[in-house]
Amino acid sequence: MYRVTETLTQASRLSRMLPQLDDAMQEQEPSSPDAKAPQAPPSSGLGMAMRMSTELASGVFVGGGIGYILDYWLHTNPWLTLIFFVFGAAAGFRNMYRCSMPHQEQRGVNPGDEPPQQRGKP
Amino acid sequence: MNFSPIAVAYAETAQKVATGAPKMDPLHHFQVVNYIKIAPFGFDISISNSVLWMWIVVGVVYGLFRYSLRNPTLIPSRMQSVAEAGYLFVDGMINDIIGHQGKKFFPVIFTLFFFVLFCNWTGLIPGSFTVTSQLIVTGTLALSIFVFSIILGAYHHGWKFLGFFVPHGLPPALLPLMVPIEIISFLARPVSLSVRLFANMTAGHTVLGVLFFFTATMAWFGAWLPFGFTVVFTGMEIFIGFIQAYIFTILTCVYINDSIHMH
Repeated sequence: MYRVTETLTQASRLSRMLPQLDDAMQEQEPSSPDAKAPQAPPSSGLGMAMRMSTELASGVFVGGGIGYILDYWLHTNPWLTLIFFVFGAAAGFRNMYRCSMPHQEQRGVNPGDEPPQQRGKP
Repeated sequence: MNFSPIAVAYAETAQKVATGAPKMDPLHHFQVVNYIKIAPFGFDISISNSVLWMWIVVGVVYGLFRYSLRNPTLIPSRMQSVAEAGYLFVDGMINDIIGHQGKKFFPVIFTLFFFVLFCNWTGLIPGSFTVTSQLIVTGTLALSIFVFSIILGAYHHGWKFLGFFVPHGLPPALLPLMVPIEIISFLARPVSLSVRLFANMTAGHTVLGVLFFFTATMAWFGAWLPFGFTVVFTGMEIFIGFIQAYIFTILTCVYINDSIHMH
């Protein structure tokens, strides 16, 4: 019985301390901007490179595939394959371009959202 | 007589195969083997090594988190910090990309990240099977994410979701050119998502297979060189396994974000 009450007092003390801890952490936060962005791993440059290479290839592949199927269906060999191959290459480049500017395009404009933590951006 | 070197090499290989000398087959460990054949009504749902290793991965991830959080304390123990770091990592990723509305997708993204990560990592154990080296597995994952993002977009925006294919500020004259490009670039998403993971895993494990073969067949004074490379490449593969899981998950977040906040 004694142990239970002791644990309970400790728990209530801890729960009273938690808001203080939050305050203290929030005081700390603005002074250390580096600690605010731990999520991007040190290797995201390599990740970006791997993403880009497949983006281009898959764009061309999907474009060519669509063209080939349409050709097969409409008996217009080889014209649609050629046209869609070019479209696919353009789509691949578009995806690569999208990849290379993560913070404007990927996050988009989130008007309803609270702004994500400012990271040196205006 | 002038035998071409290729013919000579071919004859030597054929002789070796006939005499039972070791044969290099670095793709052998990607073969799917059925352990128990189950095919009711023509649907093949056999228990293969791929299925078995998926179960093992699910068990390992579940067990790891259960074990780490068996006795949670305010000041985390070592294993608890690992689990909490994993949680915070995925949470930070979602917050960064989707923002506030991403919270409700946390379970699926968390599961996806740890499933892919441990599929990549368990595949490095000699004798195991790399689930993510099968295009059908990564393709299914990518396609379900793709379909999910379409349904999510249709749910949030209805028919306006088709406006996704029309870029902002485009002169109407360019529409017939840009809309097909946007549609293809949208359709290329699951392809690039699945092929990237599959290709990276297959390539890395093939390299490891070749190097292990060299190590096993070379004389002792030569074997240290490929063996050193296998050590380096195993470390490299651990790293790539993490990166690939990270990319897979972050792109899932990006696609979900695109469906919620169309731009």
